[in-house]
Amino acid sequence: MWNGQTLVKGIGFDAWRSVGHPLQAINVFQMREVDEIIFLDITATKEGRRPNFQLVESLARECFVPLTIGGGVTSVEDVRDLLRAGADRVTIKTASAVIPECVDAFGAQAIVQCCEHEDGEGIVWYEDVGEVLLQHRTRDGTMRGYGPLAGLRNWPRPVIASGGAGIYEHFTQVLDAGASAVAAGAMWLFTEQTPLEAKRYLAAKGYPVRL
Amino acid sequence: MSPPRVAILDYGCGNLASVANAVRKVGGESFISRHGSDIWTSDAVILPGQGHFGQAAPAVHHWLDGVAPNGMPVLGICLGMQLMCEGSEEAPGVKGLGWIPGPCYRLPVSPLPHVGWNDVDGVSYYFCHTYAVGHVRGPVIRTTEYRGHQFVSEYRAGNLWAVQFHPEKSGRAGLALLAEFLRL
Repeated sequence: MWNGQTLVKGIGFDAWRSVGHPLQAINVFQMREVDEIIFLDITATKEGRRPNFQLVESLARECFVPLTIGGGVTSVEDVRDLLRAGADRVTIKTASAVIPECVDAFGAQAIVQCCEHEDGEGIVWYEDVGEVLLQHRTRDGTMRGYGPLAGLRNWPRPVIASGGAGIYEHFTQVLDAGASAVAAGAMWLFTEQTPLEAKRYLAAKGYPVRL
Repeated sequence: MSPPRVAILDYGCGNLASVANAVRKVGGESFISRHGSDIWTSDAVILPGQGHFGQAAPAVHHWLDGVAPNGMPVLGICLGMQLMCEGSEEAPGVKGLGWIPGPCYRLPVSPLPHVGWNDVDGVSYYFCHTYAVGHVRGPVIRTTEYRGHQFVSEYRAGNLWAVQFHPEKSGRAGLALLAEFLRL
């Protein structure tokens, strides 16, 4: 997560602290074999900024796994320019009304809807998006687990769980609840745990992962 | 030795920058070819992915018809692989280059597109596609299974290489494949 100037990590999307430059993070995460990088500008909408296309371009130059970009996306033009800058996928949250138009223009695989929720409450989403990024509003950064989520298995679209991961068991909990993929931030930045170790843990438990 | 120079064909599909970045990462030099006439100054050609078969085919014919596929190394990625076939269900009646002896068809499973990491002979690569090459014969054929359905994910015949996945987005394994291609 990015605030327009630096990579940040906070708790419940508040009290942000700087955790370095995104390019550095992208290189480290790739060495640790992450499967996808999701980069969210968390102050763009609040500040009325457009996405930072130049930054995205410089990240894409160094990113050799799928790169998903979000924050401040309000139009079909924003999505087009992000894809041109090298994003593989774009997430849309606040301006969800433009999602159907974006899916028509770029295909479902390019559009991820980001849904903020509170323990599974308040989730509204479009059926034709490629994926849904479920983001827990108050657990993000707490490392206390993704929270109670049920019935994800019945969703017709893949769900990425996000917000609250602190230990590897949190991944198995939410995967067992039906999530297709898991995202984590704070635990990579503030603990000794790594994506590669997490994948080895999941593989040993029989979950399908890329190693 | 100067770095191998790779022409990346621009027939209006996305994703060109990713391919160029990956070529640079493995020590190659690339340029985007918008007219095709300059591909003869390169050591190798890449047909990149993403886009519509019917929209890309005319430019590809214009540039590559009559090119012996076993001369200059050519790598087709995703849609680029499909354009090397005889045709595609995505655009009935539109001819491909015919270098791979068979047609492309829409994967008969759901959900589509097939997006994500999947296995090719024990190695994971990143896929994002709806159409694929049918079962063809070739010196090197690798297949991938998606939702119980097998399709051709890699094809090699001499200097002609084609992959249904995106090596430029497949981490270390994908970069290794691109590096191998540049050594042809």
